[in-house]
Amino acid sequence: MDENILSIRDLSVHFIKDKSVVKAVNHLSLDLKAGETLGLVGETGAGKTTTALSIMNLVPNPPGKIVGGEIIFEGTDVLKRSKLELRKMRGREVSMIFQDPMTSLNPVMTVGDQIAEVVRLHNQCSKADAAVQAQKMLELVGINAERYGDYPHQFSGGMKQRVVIAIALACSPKLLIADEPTTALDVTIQAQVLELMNDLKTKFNTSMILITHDLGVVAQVCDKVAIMYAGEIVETGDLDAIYDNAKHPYTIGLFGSIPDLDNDTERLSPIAGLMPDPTALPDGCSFSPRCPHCTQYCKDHDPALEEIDPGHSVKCWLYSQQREVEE
Amino acid sequence: MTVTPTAIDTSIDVSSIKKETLLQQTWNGLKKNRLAMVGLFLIILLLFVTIFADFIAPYGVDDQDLTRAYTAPCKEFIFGTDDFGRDIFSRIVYGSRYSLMIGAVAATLSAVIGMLIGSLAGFYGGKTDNILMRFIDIMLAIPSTLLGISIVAALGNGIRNVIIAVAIGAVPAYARIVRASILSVKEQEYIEAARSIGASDFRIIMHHILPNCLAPIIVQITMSVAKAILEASALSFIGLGVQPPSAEWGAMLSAGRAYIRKAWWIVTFPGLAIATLIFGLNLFGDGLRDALDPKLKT
Repeated sequence: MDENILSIRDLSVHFIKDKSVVKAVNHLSLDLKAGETLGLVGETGAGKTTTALSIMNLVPNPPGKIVGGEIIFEGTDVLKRSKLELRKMRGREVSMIFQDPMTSLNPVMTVGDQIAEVVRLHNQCSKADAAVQAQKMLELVGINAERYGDYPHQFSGGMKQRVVIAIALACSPKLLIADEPTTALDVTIQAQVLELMNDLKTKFNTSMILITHDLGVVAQVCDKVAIMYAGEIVETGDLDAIYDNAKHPYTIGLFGSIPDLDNDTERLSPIAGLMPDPTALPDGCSFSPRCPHCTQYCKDHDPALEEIDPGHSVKCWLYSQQREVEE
Repeated sequence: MTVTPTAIDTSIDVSSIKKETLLQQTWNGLKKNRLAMVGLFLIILLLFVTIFADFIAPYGVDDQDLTRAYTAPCKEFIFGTDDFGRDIFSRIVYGSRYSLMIGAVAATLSAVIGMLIGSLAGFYGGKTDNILMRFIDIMLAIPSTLLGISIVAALGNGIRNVIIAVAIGAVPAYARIVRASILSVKEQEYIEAARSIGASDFRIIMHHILPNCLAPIIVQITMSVAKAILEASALSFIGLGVQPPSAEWGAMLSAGRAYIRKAWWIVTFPGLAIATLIFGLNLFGDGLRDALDPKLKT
């Protein structure tokens, strides 16, 4: 169980638009073990989805380009795999749940057929066998198998997301990437879908990367958390480490922006300022323009992600050992 | 023998349920649309006429009898006779074979070529798109009738060459419609989702993109059957297509136009035949579009 199923090293993804270069993901590294769930948290535009697409090597090209790094999945680099190998990997070993269930199903195909399609693509089996398997998947996600022949427009949002989950899990992938699976759903359905995903994850022993900007969802589902900011991971660690012992000013800021049931505060304390323009990131630490603890040193030098406790790493000069050595 | 309930459950034949509903839904949608049913009726009527022409036509195609030339519509010759005394009704009945065949074959041919070009251009974009669409633009710059005339002039008369000429003329319209629909569909999230489950480009185009572009393509097919029939008739009319004495509707129009003052029925009935067929095709095409569009279903 100690083996990393996925390890991303130094990944950089840029979007090239005419003359400007959008640096969506910058030198990102992360590891994931079998059966683990990682929550990837960050605000809009932090590069969460781009990271997820990179894992499947699906970054739209052009304009997107993976400019550096490697993504080791099951021992080999995804970025170096051939088209055929990638096709075999997608859906079977790694699959993805998309953000909006309303648009991620083909409107002119019955839901059953869409589940059967994955089964047929990755297993040598007859149409009838695939259909039976698809029906089983439907039942598994709590939809009556009789609705095999229904079209997506006959389903509610929550049910569509269940179908999407059924598609994603139909071939029992080793890694499931869920890109904001509950953002488009209301809270009660959200809870149901999360519970379902949790159940199925343990059932299939699937590793999962959950992309979200909802720290509550992360607390409910994940084992580990990585906080992303401007294409970088600024803090990563176990659930406890992040929730009880947050170090990075951005993480602290995120928690400060959530209403607290216990403390009766008049106003929330949001993080001042906006995300930096990804075409012109600051030279030093990318959070420095918004950081309450920012020093001149932070503006000039970019910190590295350093382990401060076992399994808890922070990318900030405040906690860095290196800086003390240099000064 | 006892059958356990689970055994019954697993024996559900999924494929039959699914097919039934898909066809039925389309059919139910069509049935509600009266105009479409009128169109379908006209098309079926003409198909029937085409197939059973030998039994329906009271006279042979080329039964000439100069003594009965220019007979006005009457009991014996319901559409009258032409300048050679041939029964116009019989000739229209036989002529439907030419028109339907030219229309169907030319429309299919152009649809296949046009969809191929449009799909490639729309799906791959970039250079592929540029090269293919500039080629289509060049074809569009030439009026389709003129293109048809030049192709027939180059290849020679005859029904096969008319079909080729008409089909080539209809390709650009398909290519543009297919490309435009593909451009709008390929950015949808479900296409990305299809990629993420490991579907090949070919599969994505055939199973996910084209079915979603079906509505405009189907309308285009019925329209282009109509257009192909018109164009083939036009080519025959100017003497480049099917040659007289063959009973092609356009050729009949052409042959009868000289007598329009003296014997109006010679041009009128072939013209009406063309109009009826095209009317039927267009009505049916529109109805089919409404019935196939899942967004219009309730």
